[in-house]
Amino acid sequence: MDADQASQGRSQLPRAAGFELLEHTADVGIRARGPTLEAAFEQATLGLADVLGVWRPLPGERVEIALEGDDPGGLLVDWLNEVLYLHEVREAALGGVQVQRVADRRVDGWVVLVAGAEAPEGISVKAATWHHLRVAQEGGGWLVEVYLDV
Amino acid sequence: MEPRKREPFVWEIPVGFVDGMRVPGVVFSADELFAKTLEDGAAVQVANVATLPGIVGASLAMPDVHRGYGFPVGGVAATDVAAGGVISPGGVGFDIGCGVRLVRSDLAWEELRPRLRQLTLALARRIPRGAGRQGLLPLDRGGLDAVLREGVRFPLAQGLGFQEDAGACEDAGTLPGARPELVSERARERGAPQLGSLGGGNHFLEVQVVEEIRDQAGAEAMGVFAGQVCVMLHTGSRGLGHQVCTDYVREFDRRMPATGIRVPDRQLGCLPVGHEAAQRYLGAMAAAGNFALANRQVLTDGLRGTFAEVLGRSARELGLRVVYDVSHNLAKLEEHQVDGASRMLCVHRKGATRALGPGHPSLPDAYRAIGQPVTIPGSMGSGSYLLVGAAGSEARSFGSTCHGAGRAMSRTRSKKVMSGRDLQRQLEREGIVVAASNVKLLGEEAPHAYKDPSVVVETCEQVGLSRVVARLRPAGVVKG
Repeated sequence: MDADQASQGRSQLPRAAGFELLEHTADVGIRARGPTLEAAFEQATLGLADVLGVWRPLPGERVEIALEGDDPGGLLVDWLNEVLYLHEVREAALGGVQVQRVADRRVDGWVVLVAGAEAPEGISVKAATWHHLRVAQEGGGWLVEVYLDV
Repeated sequence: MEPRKREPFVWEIPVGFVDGMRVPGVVFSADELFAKTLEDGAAVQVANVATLPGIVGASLAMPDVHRGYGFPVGGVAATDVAAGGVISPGGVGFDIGCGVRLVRSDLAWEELRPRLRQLTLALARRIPRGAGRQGLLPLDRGGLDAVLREGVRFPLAQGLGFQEDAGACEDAGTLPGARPELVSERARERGAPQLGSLGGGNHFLEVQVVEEIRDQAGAEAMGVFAGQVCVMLHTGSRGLGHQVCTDYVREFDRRMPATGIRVPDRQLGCLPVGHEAAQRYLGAMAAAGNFALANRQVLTDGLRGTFAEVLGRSARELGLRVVYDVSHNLAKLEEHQVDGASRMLCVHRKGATRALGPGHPSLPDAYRAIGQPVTIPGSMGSGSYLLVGAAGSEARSFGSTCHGAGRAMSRTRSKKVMSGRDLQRQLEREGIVVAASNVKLLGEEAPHAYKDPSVVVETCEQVGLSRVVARLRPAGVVKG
């Protein structure tokens, strides 16, 4: 990686990020919005990457994710925990995310894992939890909320 | 249906505070801290736990309680196994078996003082911490199985520690009922490389100095004296435990509807203890708890080696002995008296510590007369405490006490009050050497983000849960 790439790799999340971090006494919540449920899932993933400090929009390995569950909220928790698992065992940063389809019982998409990136700049996350989990339609789009145990 | 003060330091959250409560909530709290319990939402969480099937007595909150994710942190809930009582993986938490170990030494502070910076920095180099995966003792499959089954006995068999270390741990260093075969491949993949690592968040290793002795007999039994150098270690089961909890919270969420149980927060998902999936969780949880015990054992070996290198004397010569090691995130099957009868209860301690009173048969001989040692970490810059379980803990809290100072401020707000860099400078001015894996994050764990630990431990003493034996101050901090 040359200096320019490294600089680009440290760039902040997209300015128009559709997520915000929610105050919590000990942990961290993510509220994410998108015109579609898929977009809201993507924004929640960016929120997770922001908390971990591992967003590096660089080329890397694309890893497909397909998960089955019982409802969209459970799928969101499963999706974020899958990303967390991949980040931890591959020791990789996150270079991209696309959620292609969220159905009632299935989510499909991919993430880009960037190996050998700089050390995470954020806090360690143990897991995405089911606490105050929320998936709702709002103003013609979708809103999701999820809390992380940090 | 408003909370009311039942007696000094005891607040009741009455049945009806939230729908479906089976027992009241009881919060042990100083007046000045109880308002915070209501304000940050912890009181609602205490009440939510009171809806769990089979809960007996009350949904309890220790004085350091704060809002968690489902269960409050600082919560104790006991369910009657024979009466359909449930177990909830969320009532143990993701960091299964997370706990605190205190190691004492024969070193006097004046002896160490000139070498404190050298020692702290050497510990920081030696002890794996932060986000990295590699621990001091990465494991192959056979090794991991042995750790999950045997806890501290595996590293001891590798020569990592003194044989007597096991006797100074809760359950002699091996949680009973562990079933390694029920720990998922994914959990194994996360945990196998990480044995002997601190992790991040609020985990730490701290060189401390005993500042004050309040109970001479208790201190003598533990080999603790004023001006003594000790080391406190706070960590848990790393990615392995996180994954075990993730696996089972998900499974419980899917299987609970068939039992007819409803809970007010999905993270409280639970099943009767006798349920097949609950039995599997108990076995996997005990295995993860053994990983946490072994993790602290391997780290203890690492810190002993570092002390020996820096000070030029062996760990034995330095008297680096384990005072006690106890978890604050576990569920255990224990016999307790309920309404005059002995009952088998599933006691969840989520950010709460077992605190057996004097005379309890489970205690090692050395501590039977004084009660079980409990180590309460403060935060960087504020003191930590060494307690012993009090006789009243059995009746009051199913033999439990607090686990720390308890957070009072969010991470975001804490960083705004003082940056990590400024905090490090302030601590250095106070003579405290700080080695952090990420200085920017130090501000999230600043003393001002926590309650005053002295108020917390004194409340525990007033209520009869535990007694203060000694106060320790930080000298060298290695942050995860």
